[in-house]
Amino acid sequence: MILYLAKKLTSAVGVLLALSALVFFAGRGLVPGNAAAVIAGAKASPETLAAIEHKLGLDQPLYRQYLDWLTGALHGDFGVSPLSGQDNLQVIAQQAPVSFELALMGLLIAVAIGLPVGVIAATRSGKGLDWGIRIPLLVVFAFPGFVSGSVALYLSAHFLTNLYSASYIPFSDNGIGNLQTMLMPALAVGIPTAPLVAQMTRSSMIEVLAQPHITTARTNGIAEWRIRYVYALRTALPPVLTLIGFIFGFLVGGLFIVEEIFSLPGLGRGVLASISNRDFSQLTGQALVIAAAFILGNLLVDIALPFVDRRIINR
Amino acid sequence: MTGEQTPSGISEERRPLVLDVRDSVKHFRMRRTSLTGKRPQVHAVDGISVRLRAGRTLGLVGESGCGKSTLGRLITGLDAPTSGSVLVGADQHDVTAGAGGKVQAVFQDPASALDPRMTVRAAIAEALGGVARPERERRVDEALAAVGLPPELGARYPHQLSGGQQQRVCIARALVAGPDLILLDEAVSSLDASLQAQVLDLLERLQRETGTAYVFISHDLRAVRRISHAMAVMYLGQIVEEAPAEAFDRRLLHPYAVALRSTEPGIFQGGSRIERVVLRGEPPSAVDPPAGCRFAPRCPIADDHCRRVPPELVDVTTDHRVRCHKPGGLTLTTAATTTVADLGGES
Amino acid sequence: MASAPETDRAPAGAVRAPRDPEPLLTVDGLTVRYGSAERPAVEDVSFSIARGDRVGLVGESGSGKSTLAAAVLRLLPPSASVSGHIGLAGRDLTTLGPSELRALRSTRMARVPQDPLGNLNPVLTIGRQLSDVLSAHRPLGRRERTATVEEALRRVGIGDAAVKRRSYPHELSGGMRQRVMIAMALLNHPDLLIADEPTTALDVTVQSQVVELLRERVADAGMTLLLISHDVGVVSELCTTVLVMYRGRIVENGAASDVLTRPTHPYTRSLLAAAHGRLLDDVDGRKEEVA
Repeated sequence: MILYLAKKLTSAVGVLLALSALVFFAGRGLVPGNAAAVIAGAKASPETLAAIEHKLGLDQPLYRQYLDWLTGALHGDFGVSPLSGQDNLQVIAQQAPVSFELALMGLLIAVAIGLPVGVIAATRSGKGLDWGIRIPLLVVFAFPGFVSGSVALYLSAHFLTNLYSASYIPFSDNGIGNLQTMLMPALAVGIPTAPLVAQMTRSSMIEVLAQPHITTARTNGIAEWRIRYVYALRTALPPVLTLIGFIFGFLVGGLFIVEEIFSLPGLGRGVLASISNRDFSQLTGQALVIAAAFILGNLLVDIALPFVDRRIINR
Repeated sequence: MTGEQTPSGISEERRPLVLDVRDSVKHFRMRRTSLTGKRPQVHAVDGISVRLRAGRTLGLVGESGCGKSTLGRLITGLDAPTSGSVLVGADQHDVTAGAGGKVQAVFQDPASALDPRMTVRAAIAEALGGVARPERERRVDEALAAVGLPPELGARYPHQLSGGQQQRVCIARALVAGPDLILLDEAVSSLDASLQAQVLDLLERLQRETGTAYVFISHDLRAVRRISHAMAVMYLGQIVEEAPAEAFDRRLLHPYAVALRSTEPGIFQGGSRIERVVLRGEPPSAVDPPAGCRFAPRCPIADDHCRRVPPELVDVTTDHRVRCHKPGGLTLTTAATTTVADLGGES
Repeated sequence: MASAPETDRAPAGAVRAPRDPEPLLTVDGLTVRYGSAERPAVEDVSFSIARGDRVGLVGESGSGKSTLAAAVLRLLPPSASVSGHIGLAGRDLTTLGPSELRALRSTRMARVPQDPLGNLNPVLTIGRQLSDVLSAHRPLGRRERTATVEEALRRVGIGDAAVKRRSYPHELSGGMRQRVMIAMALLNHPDLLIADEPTTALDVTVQSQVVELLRERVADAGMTLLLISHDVGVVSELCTTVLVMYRGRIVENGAASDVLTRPTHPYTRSLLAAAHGRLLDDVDGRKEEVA
């Protein structure tokens, strides 16, 4: 178990480092134009440009810039945006919790809907109810985010006005108020994600329900609900959990539509702003946090998996 | 079919050697199991020497994890030995240098050995890579006939055949290039008893006709014994007893071989049956084998000497070798056939 | 249910009359057909097993022996159509509802399957699985359950039961897992034990151990055994009566000592010959084509 955890942690750190390099070089090396040119303006003389570049460290070789940035990032220093003068860390520290919270709530909703629906669809596999479940699921899954977001916004603004808030309320200010504001956006995120969880649960469950140990449980007179929700579901869970880990990272970075619709100051909107401002110093920080969310999601799942299925340690 | 016609009654020495395994060792490194400490090593094959002449069959028996399949992979050149050598073919070249179709193999599960999208003819012809088309077609026809499949089956796909027919196709594919040696790895184990008998008959007939040598690996002593000229029993990577097939009926010397032999059903044969020798424990893994005799932990007659000193494989007669400190210490006993009554529980 | 004879309601484990006049299992005119298959997998099969009998059901793959066992255990897939009557201690198994059937399983009839690894749940400890089988039929306290489970494990030769019950199936050897399956089948003292190729997936020396264990446990409990096997040797060691199945029908039925020494049906003769490694002419042409 310790060896397993050590392996997973090491690989998580390794992947994070690799991603950080990717994020940095993609941001600095590949995208045309740099912050110095933006600050200096189009009419600046080459000398001014060089001076600004020197001040920002942009005249250093790329690998030095990366190492400097990495050392800084490890110390919690994401630099100061050369454009707005804001501390990048502070900006990200405001945006990240919004997105993480929204992603987590959305995920919980997706699992709360998807898991039971998947189990029911699996136990009725091929019958009318199975299709009765799967077709609506596919329709919901095909909804683009702006449709579900707009529907949720419309509903909350017109019918559930006590849940509606025009502006974001931080959790630290008012916990209940925060959860109320976040509920509709979370539904807008979670409902279209639920079919993904349901679909994976269904296919994994169908596979497990055909395995001989289910027959044995039946031959021994174990109650049918226990067979489904303990014997089969637990056996079927690992691929579903793995998917959930992926979805979490995916959501953290992919919320900008819902954030835009509900005017939430999250990472998704922040990234869009950084891109349109060509603020790569801020963008790399944000991209790193999103990458870290991916890795965190997978790591948490990796840690949880052996508690569901002990065989995973030996794999 | 190429390959020389080998008339029966030829003296053993005049049969060319087609397999010479010399002191072969194969160790595998396993995955790390703790943060500190060495990676465990599996002693899958630990110093095995066997020889086989054309037209002969060597039976290799043992339980799971004894290394028989690893030995099979060394013989077919699928794996290179950690040390030692494997020489094959009439010209005795090293198998790892490429067997050139001189060694073929037939495995347990014919359904997975055959490409589901290839017709029977195509599957057999595949083994004749460089042969010109008319010649190839002729030899495929011959191979189909040799294994007793009607020519019209050649156009079918594997899933349209029964298990026995699929295994015949595998045998035809192995035979068609005229190999010196065919490895039969549990080749009849997935077939019903009556089908097994048919396939074994077929293999024997083909051997008489082509002079191909077989190495027949199986956990099933009965099947192996029927077509083998010599038998070797493996335990934990080593040969513990090697004997001519005739000796396997009554003259077994190693306790493990005796125990294996005792599991054969002697269904009310001649009014007496062989008593089962029930061993303790289960076939161990070949990671860190015991220091003394490897069989000692499960042996009913082992003593302290056995547990300390590993026995050597010694000659009993010219073609009978055994690795045991107390050869012949455990023998087969026969019990009366009254199994039904002495079961108890009826009263 | 209400009209069931009184002897049926005796609780499991109650003292039974040594010679029950009524057979434990009666199969009458059973025919099983899968989907729209041309030939039924089991065709008009009738036999009965008296309490305490040990019956071997032999035949090759496709002979219908596993279908017959599945029919008795009510494990046939929905695509199978069943006609005929299967009675266990006077109750018609073919018409039982789900909850009646559930109550009967494990307490009246239990099964030892061929492949213990596939038949144990991979993500639950064996102790948990055994204790679930107990509590599905008997309301027991936690401590009592653990004690019963450990006792059951010890009876099948697993000495360190307190440790082993916390193991997951993949942590045990093949022979150990089959011992667990036997313990599980015997847990609620069933009247009828159906062992479906219980030794086929095991190493030969472990097969010997499992044959010995079955012999001992069945004799101890005075249990009725239906052993399905293609291995005539194992059947000859464990059974008093032998049924030979061929192409969905029972072609021979008699005392083991008679059937296995003086077979009357040509198929039995060829089966025995094959078991000895000889080949006789097939009964009616190619056996190979039997689906």
